[in-house]
Amino acid sequence: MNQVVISVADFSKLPGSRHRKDGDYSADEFFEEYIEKPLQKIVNNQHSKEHILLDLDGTLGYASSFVSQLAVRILGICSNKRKLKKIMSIKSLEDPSQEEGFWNAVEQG
Amino acid sequence: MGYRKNTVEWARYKNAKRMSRKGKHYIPSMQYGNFRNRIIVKAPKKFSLIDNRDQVIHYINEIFTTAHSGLFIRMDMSEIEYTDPLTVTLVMALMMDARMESQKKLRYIEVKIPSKNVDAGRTFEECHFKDTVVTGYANQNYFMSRTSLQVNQSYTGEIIEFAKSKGISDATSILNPLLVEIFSNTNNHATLSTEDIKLPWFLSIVERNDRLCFSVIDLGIGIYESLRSNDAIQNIPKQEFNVLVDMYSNDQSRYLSQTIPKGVYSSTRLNFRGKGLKTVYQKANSSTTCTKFDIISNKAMIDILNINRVHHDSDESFSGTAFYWEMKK
Repeated sequence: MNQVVISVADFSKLPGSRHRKDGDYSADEFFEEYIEKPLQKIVNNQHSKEHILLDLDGTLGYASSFVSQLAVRILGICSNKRKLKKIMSIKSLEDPSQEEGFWNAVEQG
Repeated sequence: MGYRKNTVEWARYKNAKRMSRKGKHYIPSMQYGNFRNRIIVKAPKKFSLIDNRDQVIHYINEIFTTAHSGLFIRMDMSEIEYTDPLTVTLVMALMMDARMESQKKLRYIEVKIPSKNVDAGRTFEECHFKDTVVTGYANQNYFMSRTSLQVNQSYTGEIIEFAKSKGISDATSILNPLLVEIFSNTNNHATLSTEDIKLPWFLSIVERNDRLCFSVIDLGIGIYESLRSNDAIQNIPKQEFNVLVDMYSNDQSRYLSQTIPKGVYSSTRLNFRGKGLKTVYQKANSSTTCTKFDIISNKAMIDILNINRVHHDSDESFSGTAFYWEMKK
């Protein structure tokens, strides 16, 4: 299985809030620039063996809205939660609560 | 109208009438107004939003009411004996907002601050009050003040660098989430959702002995008013709604102290939303350097580091939200 690593730290060390209108380095901006295309590609190809590792480490911390908005946008492309868990995993060793927050938002989304 | 002929009020009334005939709105100008005719409002001697909330909120409300009625007003703070960085920042925020088009009426406020020789005057000096208000430039570098209408991450980066350079050991892990949540809070909740205008937040950091004192203020509608106008609140079960309304009107501090650690109701009605203040609570409590963290909004005052300590509600409601915290070097 091929793994695509997408790191928030490559986008910004200072992730911001939820929407582009809220200000700099929003979750929407990150999603549209880094996640949307590779995720769409995997979801559209039923035989894809690719997997996305979303790396949340290496930043200066997150507002709750950033991570929950990522979950909302990702669900917009892959609404099958079981499938999403297969094709995507989260790395958040520096703050494990972010991983939990992400999957909670997916469950409730 | 019952104005005596040739008085300032009479002239103002005649001007307003003359302008309205031309379909224009009359705005009194300082240039032509009678300087002796301005209303002088004296600040309470203990001018502290934290330690003397009732009187300070009453004072600020009086200033707003008078300014909005279009009268020239002087905030006379020359005789105050004690103040703190948060309250000076509040006055600064008010003066900076006065330059905004949407806050035109605040333009007629002028201030008189205490002399440098007294303690209160030195606090104004520490907060670089004159530099900020006289120059009208809120983003100062030689100390740290910033203002914006958005979550501004270049400012957040500068604030974190500043705190780090002053020896705040957990500046890099605590401040980004805290500041983003606070700025987003202003961005999304300072005005009613039906309104288009955005209000700015104003931040200042003052160095005092072994700590940095952070103040962030917005002069929006406040947390409680924002929650009350929240759609999600209107749709919860009636019994629960009645309890909330009752607590809202009588016990805002208790309500917010109980609600913030769990997350407040979100207007989106989604359970994973409304966690901004909860994050503020968690980050402040996990910080090793944060020694004080208070939020003052509407009638409530919340002690974030000691959430079970419930403050009394103030007599009057403060239209805005003030965050104040101290971090030890």
